Amino acid sequence: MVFLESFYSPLLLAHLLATFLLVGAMTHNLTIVISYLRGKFGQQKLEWLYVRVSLWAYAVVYLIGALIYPAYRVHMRYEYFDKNLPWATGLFEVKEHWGAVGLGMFFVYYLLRKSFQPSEERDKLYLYVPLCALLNVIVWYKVVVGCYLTLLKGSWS
Amino acid sequence: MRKSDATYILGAVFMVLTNFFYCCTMWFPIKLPRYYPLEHAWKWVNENNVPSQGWYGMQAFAFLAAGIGTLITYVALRRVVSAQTDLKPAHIKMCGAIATFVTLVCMGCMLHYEFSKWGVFTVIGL
Repeated sequence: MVFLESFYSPLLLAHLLATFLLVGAMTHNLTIVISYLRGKFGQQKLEWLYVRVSLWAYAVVYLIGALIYPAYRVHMRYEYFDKNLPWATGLFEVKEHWGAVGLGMFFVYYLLRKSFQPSEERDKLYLYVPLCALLNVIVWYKVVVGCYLTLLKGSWS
Repeated sequence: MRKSDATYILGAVFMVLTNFFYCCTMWFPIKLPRYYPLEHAWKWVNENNVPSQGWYGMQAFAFLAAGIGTLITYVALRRVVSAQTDLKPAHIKMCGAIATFVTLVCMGCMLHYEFSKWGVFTVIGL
């Protein structure tokens, strides 16, 4: 019996639902952050809310992902993907690596935003804006690849 | 240095070091603990043909090493830069650009490593 394998499906569903929240908050966040580059700073409070929601959503997504990883590793990757679709494992591994470094980057993103006001210290947008864009790349990659792999093989019998 | 400037510098340093040390676990044969889900055990060796997970160890190493590196940077900054000093705008911009560039390169290295290893490039015709 692999760790938490009996709860794999409900945990995977919770993982997906938390990801929806995350991708929604991060995408809205990016649209506001891009407007900073045009000198529009009217939605700073809303943007700061999106940052906090994103951080918590990412933490939940990451935690559930780490919990269901053993069952996925044995029943999905080892028994199916590695043998039949190795390229799918390649897609998944990048998702995990980016997800891991993304956790550190999310904390940096949160602390950075907490420490400055975009309208007052515009020089710091040189890190803040690309960081927001990179986190969106990570989050969207995780969503697309995660959903695609689940379409290829969603569970085991 | 103001608190927000210190957060900016240290955040950039932590981000760069996390990505760099994570890549080091792929580039160099660093011994890290692996979890064996079928045995419910942690081992320092990578056994062939047995499913194991090195991901937990890789990120623990990256975060720990980056944390130590950031702490060293913090101590060095406190000694070198006085509390009243303001960072020049050019330095802030350069720091942000370098951190973004290094992070992007490291993420590209991770992608290249796994896509080459698992034949993704071949499947998409590259």
